Amino acid sequence: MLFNSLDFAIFFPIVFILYWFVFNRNLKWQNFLVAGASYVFYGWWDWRFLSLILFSTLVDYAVGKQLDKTNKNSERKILLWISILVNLGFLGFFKYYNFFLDNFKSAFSFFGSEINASSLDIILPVGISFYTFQTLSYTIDVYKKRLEPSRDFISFMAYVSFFPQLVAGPIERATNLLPQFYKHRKFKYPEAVNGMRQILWGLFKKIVIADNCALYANQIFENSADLPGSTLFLGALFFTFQIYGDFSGYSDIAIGTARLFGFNLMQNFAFPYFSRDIAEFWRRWHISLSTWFRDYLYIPLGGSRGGIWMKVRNTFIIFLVSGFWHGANWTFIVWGALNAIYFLPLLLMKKNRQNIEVVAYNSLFPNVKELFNMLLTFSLTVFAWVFFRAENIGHAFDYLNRIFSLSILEKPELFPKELLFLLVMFVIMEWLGRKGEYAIERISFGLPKPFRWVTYAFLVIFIFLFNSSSNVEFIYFQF
Amino acid sequence: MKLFIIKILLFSGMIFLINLGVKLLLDNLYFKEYNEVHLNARTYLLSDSHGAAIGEFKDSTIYNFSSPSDSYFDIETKLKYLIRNSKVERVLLTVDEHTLSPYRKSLNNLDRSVYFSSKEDFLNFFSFVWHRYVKYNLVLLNPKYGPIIKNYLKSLVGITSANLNEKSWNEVPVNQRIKFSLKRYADQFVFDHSSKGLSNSLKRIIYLSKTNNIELIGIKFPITEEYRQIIGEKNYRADSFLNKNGFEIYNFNSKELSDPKYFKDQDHLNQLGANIFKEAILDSLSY
Repeated sequence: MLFNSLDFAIFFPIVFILYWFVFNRNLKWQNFLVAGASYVFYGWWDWRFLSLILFSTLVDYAVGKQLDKTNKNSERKILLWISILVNLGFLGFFKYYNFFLDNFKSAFSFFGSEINASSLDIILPVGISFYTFQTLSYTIDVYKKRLEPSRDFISFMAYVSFFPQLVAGPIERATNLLPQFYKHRKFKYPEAVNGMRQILWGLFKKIVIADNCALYANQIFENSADLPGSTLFLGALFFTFQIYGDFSGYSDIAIGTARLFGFNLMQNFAFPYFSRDIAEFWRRWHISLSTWFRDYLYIPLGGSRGGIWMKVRNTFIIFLVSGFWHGANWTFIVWGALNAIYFLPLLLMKKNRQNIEVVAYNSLFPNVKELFNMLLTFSLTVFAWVFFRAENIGHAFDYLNRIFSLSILEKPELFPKELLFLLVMFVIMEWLGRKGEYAIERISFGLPKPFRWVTYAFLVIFIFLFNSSSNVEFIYFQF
Repeated sequence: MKLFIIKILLFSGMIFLINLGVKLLLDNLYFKEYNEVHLNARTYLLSDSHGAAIGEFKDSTIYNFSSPSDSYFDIETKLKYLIRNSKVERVLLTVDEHTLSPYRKSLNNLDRSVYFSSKEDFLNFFSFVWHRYVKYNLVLLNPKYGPIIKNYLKSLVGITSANLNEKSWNEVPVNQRIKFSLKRYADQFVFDHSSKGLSNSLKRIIYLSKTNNIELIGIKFPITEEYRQIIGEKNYRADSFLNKNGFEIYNFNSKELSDPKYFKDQDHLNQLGANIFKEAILDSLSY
């Protein structure tokens, strides 16, 4: 079920009413409703894959309980590995089987021997990369004794499948989300209004920004061989906004929806395109994934504590794995490597934490240095997104070759003024709202009520006017 | 919670008002013309843009009830409406090569033709109310309407001109004609097989005509020579389907009516072509 669909518009109020008016006195039933609704939400897409989530849930719940019963290190390790193998096994099979097979075949064929194995026609279950990481965080935290194992299966089931963030994050840690299922939730008016506002902003980002950018980005990337560099540059720019609008829009809707049910999810995007260096960008982009890799991969590997080579190794590992997490294609791996290359100089010069606060916190405009740094970081990001979007490595290089040719000076074949105007307005709104969790969060701080309502009305009108097509899937569903 | 519900109701009220405003605008821009029908005629032309391009007949017993993008689904609904409300005796039905193309299944007027439906056309009353009244009036939910309002607003502030001058096809350079024709072909004939849903709808149109003693005549509209050559043998065969069921076909897709000066694009007649074509239809009907 898509957030921007009529199905969800009917599903959501039903669950909301049952949640707050029918089951509000019984926590167990409320959690049961959340779990049931989440299974309906997921099964709407393909009910067969519910078995995967259920199996994953059963395994991790059982592993958690067993970890609680034993203090023997060897047994605990075995239990942890069972969980890791089951979860990553599913992920590996559904997402990476064909990739590895094809690459092995190519490698063997390069050395003159052939492997007789054919690719499988595998459907990638929506959101598998997200809920796999979420359940893994539970087992690892229980193993590390950072979290008490769950003794309430319904709550655990609701935690794993929580529908607002099930298919595209934020990837919630068990330490944050699971305890919220144990406590009685109270309806809080400010939180609910905040949630509604965030949903509206998320829909705007998805429908107005991302889907309209997608129309042009897709057209340009698909016909890149016949277009001049200037048009390709615009294509890369449109994709840059498409992926941000799409993914952060989804996160906003997810976080807003969760707020309406009394849950707090972590912030997933913090205005990443206003970053002054790549390290800051990675602290602001897909925060739930970056911190997941930091806590469960980078730090266990030694983080940045060792010598130079260890830092280099760990940085490359984390970025390559992060790239590979996005998809079984070399383009994602190159995208990850490119970001590692961007990031390493900052780490080695110990400048990776120099920009923590939001840019120009005490002023309306950035200074020249900040502006230059932002533009530079943004350009590096746009460059890297070309690899992320391209069909294959050859396509990406060809695309970039054309951008860095004299045809960049030609008049673009596509120049959607309307969309460019929208993007400028969007950037201004994001800039003005950069101190909040999302752009229009602070609209309620000190602004008169009519102004707020006019803004909401305009957002609704824009969503209607620029609804390019119905039910365009979110990009991150494929990951 | 009470305050929240009040705010949600207020917000819904605001959306309702916006919806109302947009619906009123759309009524004039988009629905009004489509919903117009003369019920005094005896013969009705039911077609898509090919038929719509020719305008009205001088003869008041023939009414052109065609609209751009009408599919057999829409035509079926319109026919049922005519059966219920008029004294229809004869229907001139488009059976051009593309009419059973799956592309028509997605590009149609279901959102508008529902206006002509009644509860008998739906499986149940709920479905009727949902489609005829709820979806029909909740225009904010339909992505099709955004661009219509946007273009209207743009024309208001002078960003776009409302109408382009109608050019004749013979003023278009030959290489451009071929380019446009190929594009049109790619849109309409991309699929190998015809649409099952549209074929079933055509069957129902035939059944309705037979059971209500309506004379059904298939019409193949004129197209330009370039486009005819590009289409070649490709045909989703609505014509032969009608023919097999014993109905006559008037084929105007011939060299006599393919002079470029009669067309405004590869497959739509201009005013001059429309006048000649209408005469040809009247001759065929022996008026």
